[in-house]
Amino acid sequence: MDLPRAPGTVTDPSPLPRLRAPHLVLAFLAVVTAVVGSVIGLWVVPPDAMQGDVQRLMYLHVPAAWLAFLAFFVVFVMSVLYLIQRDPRWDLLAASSAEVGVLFTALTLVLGSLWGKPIWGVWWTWDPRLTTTAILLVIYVGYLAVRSFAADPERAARWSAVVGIVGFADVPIVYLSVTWWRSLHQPPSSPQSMASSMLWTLMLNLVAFTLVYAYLLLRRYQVAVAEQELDARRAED
Amino acid sequence: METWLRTWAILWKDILIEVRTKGTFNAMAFFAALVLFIFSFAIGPDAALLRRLGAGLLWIAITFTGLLALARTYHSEEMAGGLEALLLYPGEPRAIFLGKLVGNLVVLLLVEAILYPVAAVLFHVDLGGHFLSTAGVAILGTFGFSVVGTFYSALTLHLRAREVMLPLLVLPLLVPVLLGAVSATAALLTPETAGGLGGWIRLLVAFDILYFVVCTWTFPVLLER
Amino acid sequence: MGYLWVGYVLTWVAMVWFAWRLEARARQVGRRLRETERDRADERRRPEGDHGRT
Repeated sequence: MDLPRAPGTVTDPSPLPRLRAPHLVLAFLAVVTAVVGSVIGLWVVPPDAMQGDVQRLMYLHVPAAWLAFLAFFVVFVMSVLYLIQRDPRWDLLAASSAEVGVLFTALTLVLGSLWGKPIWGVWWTWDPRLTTTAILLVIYVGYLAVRSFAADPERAARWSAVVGIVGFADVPIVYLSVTWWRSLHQPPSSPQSMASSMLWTLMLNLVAFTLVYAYLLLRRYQVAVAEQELDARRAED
Repeated sequence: METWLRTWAILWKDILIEVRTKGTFNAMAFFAALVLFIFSFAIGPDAALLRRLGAGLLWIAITFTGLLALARTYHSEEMAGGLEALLLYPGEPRAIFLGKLVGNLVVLLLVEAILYPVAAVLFHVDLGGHFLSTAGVAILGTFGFSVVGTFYSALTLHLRAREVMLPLLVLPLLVPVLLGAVSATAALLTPETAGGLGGWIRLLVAFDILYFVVCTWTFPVLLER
Repeated sequence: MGYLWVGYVLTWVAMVWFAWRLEARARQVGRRLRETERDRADERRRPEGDHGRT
């Protein structure tokens, strides 16, 4: 995207130190690690002894879940920063992280279903982590809905920041309560130890997903800042 | 001290309005009982099944009725164009939140006072054994519901599609409260279906304290401008 | 093993699609910003208002 880039103006949006076309660097790294991670995950690392090849979905499902929650943590931090400093850039970062977060959350749930069906025979289980992820999705949707239904951008920013903060406080409580709820109704599943090759593959895919998140977040943020500048210019004319 | 006076003033105003117009409380109580009736029809006459589901159905009815009550939290202010007028007076805006919170809490508890006996009859549950504990759980759960609900009803006041937005925002936050209230009520009244009472009580108390603090603290942000 | 392949394909298609939509939006915003730049440059070059005409 070749926006006119005068330094010190709002078209130079990054509050971070500037690189030349940082998004291309991120995209390249993300693609490379993703390809390598998937290749290793699908063909190099050995399959699980009990679950077979379907277990390879773990290399997508777990990183997606990790990023779903990380993205919401970013929403939380940016929301707090926005309410304290009222700098609109924090708000746009929060909103961008929320949009990207919805993608990862939805992926986590779909991949969870795809993994669960061949293993347990059902499309859905009330596993605490999956249940918390589903609720996280609803909280995200609420956050984005507040932004689109608010009367003006300042209220959208303020109210969604509150939703982001209050919603984030809810996530660990939901997790604890569902875990307690499940533990009363069924014996806890024994944690499985992972072979080190599987662990490394998981780590690699985690890095890949984090790079994808960083790229999408940066790009979404740049677009948001540019759109805000566009609205400002149109309002002046 | 002044904050408590303002809280009480707002609460008393709402009580007076409610008593004089008398309409909505009766409608809400009737609606709640109706929901329980419909559940009974939908599930059928199997007494054992109704007993197992009783606590859950009861709290669903409370939730639906509660959402109705919450939507009207600022109704009297809206009708008189008054929310802005309230804010013009100097003093603590959090008093508005506290007054409305207690108002919602009282209304819901009164509805539940009617609802619990109805549920006991429809779902073949005996209330007598653990009456005080059950009432305690009802208060804890309703308090959590009221804190989150009163808070978000202020947020959705000026939002488009607010009848939809209020449940959308409130329900994810209520998952721990509902799990706790239903499980604790079931553990008390139909102990063959559930256990872990102590843990659930602790969860409800923790949730109530946490959200009371967070919502009271953050409330002024909602009222800005 | 259909589940495995559906999972992998779905994941990467979803990410590429999301990125692609973002890029399209970025191009559109960039284009519109350049248009406003051009319009403003034109405004500055034009003589002030209609005062110069008869």
